[in-house]
Amino acid sequence: MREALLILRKDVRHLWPRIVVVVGFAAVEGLLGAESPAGNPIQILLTWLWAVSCVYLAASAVQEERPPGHEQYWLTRPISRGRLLLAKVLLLAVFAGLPRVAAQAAVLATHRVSPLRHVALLGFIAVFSMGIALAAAALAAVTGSLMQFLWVLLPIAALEILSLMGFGRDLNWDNVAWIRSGALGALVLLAAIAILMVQYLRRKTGLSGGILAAAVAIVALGPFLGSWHAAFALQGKLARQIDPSAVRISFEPSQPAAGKYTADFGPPLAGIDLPVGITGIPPGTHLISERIATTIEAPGGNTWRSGWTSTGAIANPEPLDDSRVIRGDGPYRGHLYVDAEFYRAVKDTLVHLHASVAFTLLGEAQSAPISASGRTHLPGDGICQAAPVMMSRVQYRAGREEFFNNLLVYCVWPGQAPARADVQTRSLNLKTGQQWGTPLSPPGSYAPYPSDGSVWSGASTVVTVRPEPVEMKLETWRAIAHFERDLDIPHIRLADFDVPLITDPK
Amino acid sequence: MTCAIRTNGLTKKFRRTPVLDGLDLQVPSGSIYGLVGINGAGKTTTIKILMNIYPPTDGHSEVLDVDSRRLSPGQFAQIGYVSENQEMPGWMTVGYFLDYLSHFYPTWDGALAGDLVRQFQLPLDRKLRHLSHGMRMKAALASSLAYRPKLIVLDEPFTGLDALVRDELIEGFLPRAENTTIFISSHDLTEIESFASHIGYLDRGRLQFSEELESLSGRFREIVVTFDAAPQPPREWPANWLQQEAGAAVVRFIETRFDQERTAADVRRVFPGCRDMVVNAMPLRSIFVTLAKSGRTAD
Repeated sequence: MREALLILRKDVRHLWPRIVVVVGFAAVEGLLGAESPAGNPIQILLTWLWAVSCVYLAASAVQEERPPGHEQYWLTRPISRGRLLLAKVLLLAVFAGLPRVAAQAAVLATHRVSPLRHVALLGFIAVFSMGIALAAAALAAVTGSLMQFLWVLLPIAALEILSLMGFGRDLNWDNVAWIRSGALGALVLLAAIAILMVQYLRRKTGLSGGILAAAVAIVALGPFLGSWHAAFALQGKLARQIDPSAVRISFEPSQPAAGKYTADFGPPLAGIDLPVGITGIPPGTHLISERIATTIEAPGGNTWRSGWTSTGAIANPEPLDDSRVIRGDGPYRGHLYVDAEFYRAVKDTLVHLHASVAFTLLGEAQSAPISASGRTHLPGDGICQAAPVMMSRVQYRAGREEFFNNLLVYCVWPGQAPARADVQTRSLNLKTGQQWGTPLSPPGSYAPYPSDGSVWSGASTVVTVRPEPVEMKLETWRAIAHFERDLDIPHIRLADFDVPLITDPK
Repeated sequence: MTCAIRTNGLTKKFRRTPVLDGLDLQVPSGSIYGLVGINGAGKTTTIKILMNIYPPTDGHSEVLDVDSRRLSPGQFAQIGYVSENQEMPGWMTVGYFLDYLSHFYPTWDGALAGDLVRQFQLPLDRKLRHLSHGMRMKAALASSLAYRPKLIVLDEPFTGLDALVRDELIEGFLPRAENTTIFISSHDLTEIESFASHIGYLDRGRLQFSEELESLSGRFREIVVTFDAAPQPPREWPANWLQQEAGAAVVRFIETRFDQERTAADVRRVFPGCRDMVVNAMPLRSIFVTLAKSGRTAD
């Protein structure tokens, strides 16, 4: 340990300007966070600047005694490679990971949130921060100079960015995307640790380079590996607080036909509207219809599969409610969108339709009043801020015009935001006395922690109210189970259930 | 004989190019062993294998009785290594460099380090990257002598240095190496012949000979044989006679196993009609050139 501390002291003496920059960015990020917990674009910029400076520090620290090469003075000195690695890891932990964790803990405390209640979250931030530093250190450990490091880093970064963009493909996994990013992040961390161990303890640059190349390839291919369905199934196993086996879905052709639809997905898709019934939803909970996978088998072996898609869902027919929210047992509509050409070919024949539906069960709502102007601390450490943003004017046909206030409601939670949050607004004017709900967006991910390594998760909405006193409260729901149900209809004539569009002249 | 360095069948290939080909080397403890050879002979590769910088392709090597592939900080605390191309931490001052290293050596002698700094006239407050090549070598040598190592390994330490600096370096380390084995490589014999006790000659990865300098100087002689008339060249020259030249009434060659009586007898046997034989001692440089040339001719 003494040797490692000697090397650390030497590195600090040489790298102190770079250390000051890294610690400085962490501190400024913390100061901005103390001012406003999240949502400030400069904070995002600072997180990036911290990451870049951390990468530079890590690369510089490793390059002080770079492992590849055969002319470095330290190779023939009594300096243990294990201690050398320990010194570098200590440097990064003390001057990259720790300041960021400390700054974020201070931010929590500033907002009257006890850091002790969020030790696991702070631990995750430490792992996230060290992951960035160790990945940079691993890359630096297989390169011969800072310039070479940069020349290797840039194409890797470009490849990974292109890959994350999906090379034009839709790779949106919605709320379970954290499983993919978490798996790839874990892979990067493990590869970085493996490279550092091999490079420092075995001195095999070829093997380390192989691990690096494999990790880069897997991370680049990562967005194309696995599927939303596999991630959702894993999510169901990881976060199951209640047994949802009582929930059932059934085809109920005796239900009245649906009203006309405004939705039109264009010529490639034809809509089908199935009357379904849902039962067994535990009291006080409700369902979110996530995605649906449809298979239609027509006579003659003609088969069409939609794959898991969010185009279509088990829908709530209540026009003013969120169409994907199933609030209790009762009749609902199954919206399926079928390839138009296939639909035209089979719509008048009896086909076998099988639909699998992915549901998330949300627990009982938590409700807390929030102020219509200013900040409200929520029970359970959340913070909501409401502020007027702009007044809007509505002119009615009769010539009457009315002004409305637009209130931006922005809420943050340490760690993960609730799966769903609504602002319920009630007018205190006895004449109007309206009450309505507005969902916050984006809905919270199902990840245990923010996958961007930040301490807060946020969501916002704009509530439009008359310029009169209102009462607001925030309702939140946490996911307690994720599961699938199958709807199997052996014989159905699709034309009997096609979607009547509002634009349809019939 | 105890050896500070011992290699057995040491082989090194870079991809398919052989650089060392079954090197068998023994460096006696306490000796000053000069490993000579032309550029590309494999000297630096040998040293880097001995210092566990390169792994050997085949064979075995021991340094201070430890397999060179297993040299640990414990052994490196007893080894001083200086190379002409060694990368130094340029941002460090000479003073900080010595201070930093001193903590890693249990036997570091601060007084000795101070003496070396004074003798080499090293500027303690100057950064290593601002030193001349000669001064950097002095700093490297000072940092490798201050802990009284059992073995000093010097890889072409005098390359690029002027004669004055070279002499200063030699004067710096020789008096402090009484109980130390010194293993020094050079492509120029004149650099080391004044102080080496043993010499090994490496040619294309093979050790052509390895022996005490005194014995080497003793067995190499230039022989000039004179005749009354043009001599008849022998059908087959003795194997230990190199670089044979035959003139009108003179034959000249290098005897590699000189012994006054035996050589004279051999000359009389090969040239029965010779008139006279003159024996000239050879400087080490000439011996080296002879061997280098004969090696190439042998191809």
